Amino acid sequence: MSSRLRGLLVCVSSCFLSLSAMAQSWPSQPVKIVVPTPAGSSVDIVARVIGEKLTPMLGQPVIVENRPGAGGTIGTDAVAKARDGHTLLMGYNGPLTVAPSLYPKLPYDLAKDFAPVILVVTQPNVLAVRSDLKVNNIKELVALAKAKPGQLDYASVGNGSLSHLAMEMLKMYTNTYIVHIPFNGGPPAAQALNGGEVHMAFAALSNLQPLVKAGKVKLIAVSNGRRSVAAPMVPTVAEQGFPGFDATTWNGVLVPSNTPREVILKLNKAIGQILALPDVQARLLAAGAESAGSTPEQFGALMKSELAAWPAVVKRSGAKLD
Amino acid sequence: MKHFLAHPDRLAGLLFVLFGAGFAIGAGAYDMGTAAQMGPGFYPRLLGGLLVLLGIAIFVTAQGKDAPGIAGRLPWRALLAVCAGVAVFGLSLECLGLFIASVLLVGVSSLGQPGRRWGEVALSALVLALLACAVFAWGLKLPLPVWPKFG
Amino acid sequence: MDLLNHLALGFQTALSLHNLLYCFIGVLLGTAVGVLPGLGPLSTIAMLLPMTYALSPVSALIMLAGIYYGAQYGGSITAILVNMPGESSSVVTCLDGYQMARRGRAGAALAISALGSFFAGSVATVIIAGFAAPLTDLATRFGSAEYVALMVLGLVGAVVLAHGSLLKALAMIVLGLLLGVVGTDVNSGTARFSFDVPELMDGFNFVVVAMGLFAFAEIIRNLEQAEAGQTVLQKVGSLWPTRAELREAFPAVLRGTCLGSLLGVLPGGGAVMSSFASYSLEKKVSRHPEAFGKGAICGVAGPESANNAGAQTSFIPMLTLGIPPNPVMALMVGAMTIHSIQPGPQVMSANPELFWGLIASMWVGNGMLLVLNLPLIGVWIRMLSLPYRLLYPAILLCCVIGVYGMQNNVFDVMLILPFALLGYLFHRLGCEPAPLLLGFILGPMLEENLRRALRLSRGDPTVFLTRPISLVLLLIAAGLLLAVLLPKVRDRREQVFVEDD
Repeated sequence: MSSRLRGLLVCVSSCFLSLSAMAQSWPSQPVKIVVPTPAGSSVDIVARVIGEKLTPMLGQPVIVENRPGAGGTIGTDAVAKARDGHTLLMGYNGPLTVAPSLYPKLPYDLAKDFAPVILVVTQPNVLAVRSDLKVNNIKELVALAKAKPGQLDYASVGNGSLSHLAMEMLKMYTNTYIVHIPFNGGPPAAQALNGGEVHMAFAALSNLQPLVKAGKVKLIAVSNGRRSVAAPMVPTVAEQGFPGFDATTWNGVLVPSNTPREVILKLNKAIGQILALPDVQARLLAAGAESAGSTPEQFGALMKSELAAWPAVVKRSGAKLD
Repeated sequence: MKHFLAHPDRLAGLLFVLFGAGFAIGAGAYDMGTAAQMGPGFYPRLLGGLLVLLGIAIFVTAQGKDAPGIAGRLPWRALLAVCAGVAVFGLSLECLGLFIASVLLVGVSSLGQPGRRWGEVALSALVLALLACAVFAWGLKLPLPVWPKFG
Repeated sequence: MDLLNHLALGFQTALSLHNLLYCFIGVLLGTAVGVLPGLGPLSTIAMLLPMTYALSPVSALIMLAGIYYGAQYGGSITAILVNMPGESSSVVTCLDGYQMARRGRAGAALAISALGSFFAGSVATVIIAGFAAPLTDLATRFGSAEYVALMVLGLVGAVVLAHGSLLKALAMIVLGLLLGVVGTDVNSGTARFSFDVPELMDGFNFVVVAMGLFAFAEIIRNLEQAEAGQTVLQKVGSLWPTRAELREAFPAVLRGTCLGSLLGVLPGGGAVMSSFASYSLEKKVSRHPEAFGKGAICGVAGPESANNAGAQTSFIPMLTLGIPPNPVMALMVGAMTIHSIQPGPQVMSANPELFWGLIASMWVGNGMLLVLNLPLIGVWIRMLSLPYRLLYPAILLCCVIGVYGMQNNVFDVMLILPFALLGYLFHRLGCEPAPLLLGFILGPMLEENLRRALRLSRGDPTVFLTRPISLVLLLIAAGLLLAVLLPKVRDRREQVFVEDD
């Protein structure tokens, strides 16, 4: 028997074994949370906060493993193909709901390969303009952009990122033309805004807050469907006359689709309890994330609606990766 | 002809021309864009062309006959032992675990030196593998499999 | 005197028993991760971040900062001993540091590097305390056009790095720039030259390229000598630099410190470029430029001081603007926000004991590094006295595990092989890999900023000449290129005349 065949047999039989035994005794070995972004990124911080609290609750060590690369698709794919029954994904919009409309071929299928567990956090994505730009809300910004078509620049944290797509969505809603200047991550985009290279940017609140305090920029809108806990005075885009506008950055836990329902529910309950802890909420908030929590079904529905919404925006914006 | 090419500058020039041409031709697959909106193909094509020119210049300006750098055969034993050692490690790490992969790496790469003593190689392989497991897997807690996956 | 009061407050904070302990833990950990390949300060700080919740914010930041500059020093240890640059800033240290080690001066190289780093760190501390505000102002004036000019200057300066043919050095730089193209293009999101391999979509990893070209190629070369019947001689000379070496190195340390302090403030490649720039400068001002690449002590002292000074002053934009110039600083911002401290101009007035405590701790930490590392030099040297047949498998093993640990990816391990072969080939062809590596590091930044600058100017190329900082930098680059080219032209002419006679 070839070694590959033997490996396959062992693998298949262990899958059956684990399926039946899983319900009662899960987890029977250390649990791994795969983070598809580099160590130190916001997704990584969220995963480590949750992982630390999950260890005593599950009675097995919970390890966070970074598998960054290719816009998060490498780590996401690793979980889609994981068969040990003890691998979780700390996923976010990019590789899960945006990537299908950006990449012509993805190695995984969100609907087929993954089962949702829980929505963990949402992150406020805020539209900031330079203080010397004479606009204080979306309406005035649109008026300025219409008066100077193609003369205003906006920074994004990357091509195909939510910061890029949120602005493209706004341009689509308001029928304006503002030039896209992509940067590599939030800090350089904030630096460009501070140095006066660009006029505005959608970026994470945590990247912008120091500049707001220094009086260099002002915040005029939140891209999420509801206002942010950390900056409650900033109105949403939807409130400013564009009902239905919602581009929310979120992180959530998913598992491979062959995971038993009991395990999903156990994880959902445990993580839900962690998210209700005041110290966890405070720590997440400090990292720029607002704890969410949901049922597996609610989380699944959120991703399904995003999968349906992004292709139109991506197509219109011309953001295409191949 | 063989002698003419066996000159470090001429060979280096040739190598740079090949690299440059490869990148310049490969860049054709990407959008060139305009100066204001440079496409992804612009910069690699520009640099590829530049490298071809530099390669030609190096080839043409090569002076003198054979230089000492190129003389002599390739050190096949060293090249093979180092490469095979790394390759074996890479192939075995995820299925056989860190310990066995380390032993294999040390064993195979030790072939690179003539006159090795097998007892010494075995001992150092074991010691190094244990050290590697202790430092990286147990001490630093890198997510590395230490033992084989199946049985 | 405000500054003195502030520093007094800072030292009061940094010298408390508690903070001294965390500072020590930080520099110890930093040195360790700097020595171990692959495991850089970034991943270490990320892993330790959750643990710092329990500490006071000052202690947490002091420890994390210690890891950062400790790792800078640790990286140069492996560069000197086994030609393995663990951090991008220690690539330059390989050039002459490793050659010194081969000549039995490893102890001197390590000691000079420790002393130079300490000196640079102390000066940079004073600079942060005194000149944070004007340096921040300089950093914010750097837009895309200025970065392009700076990169061009850096690349032109790199020609000086090689001691062989000018044309070959130029070709190696261009090849490095091209290798930097591989991966996803920041501007368009297109994956270039990645051949549908997902692991290549983020380009080649720096550590993989540097390890292949430097450490692995070196092992193959050493084994080649052994095959040819020569024993690989690992000389172990005296541990300490001689008086003459110290006297020679001191001005280099001074120049490196100045360069590093200035460049470190710039976001992006500041600290990396400072070590390359310092090497170029040393080679230019040296009375014995031919000694460079063969173990010149100034080639170690200058860059080592520069990268340490740069590492320290890169705290400036983070502390005063809240804008982190590199990923490690981004994590430090994270550490501050976890403790509900918002980085930015108000930190200095709102949390003076944190701001000045952190600055004073850097000086204390650099002193600790010195105390910690000078005695260790003996231990490191003893490692070199192991027979090479036992040493090289250990180096290989350490490298591959480190590379795997970076992204938990076997692909990266395999990727070392082509670079090792290429590195050996370059050696046979008389091409030096250091300019290639600088091109590789700066290439993506150059392209990104070039395209961004032209996009912002709507395609007008005069933007590089109409902005004053950019113009000055480009003029310096042109001057440097002329200075390198003119002697060559003159030589060529003299040769022609000789032949005519």
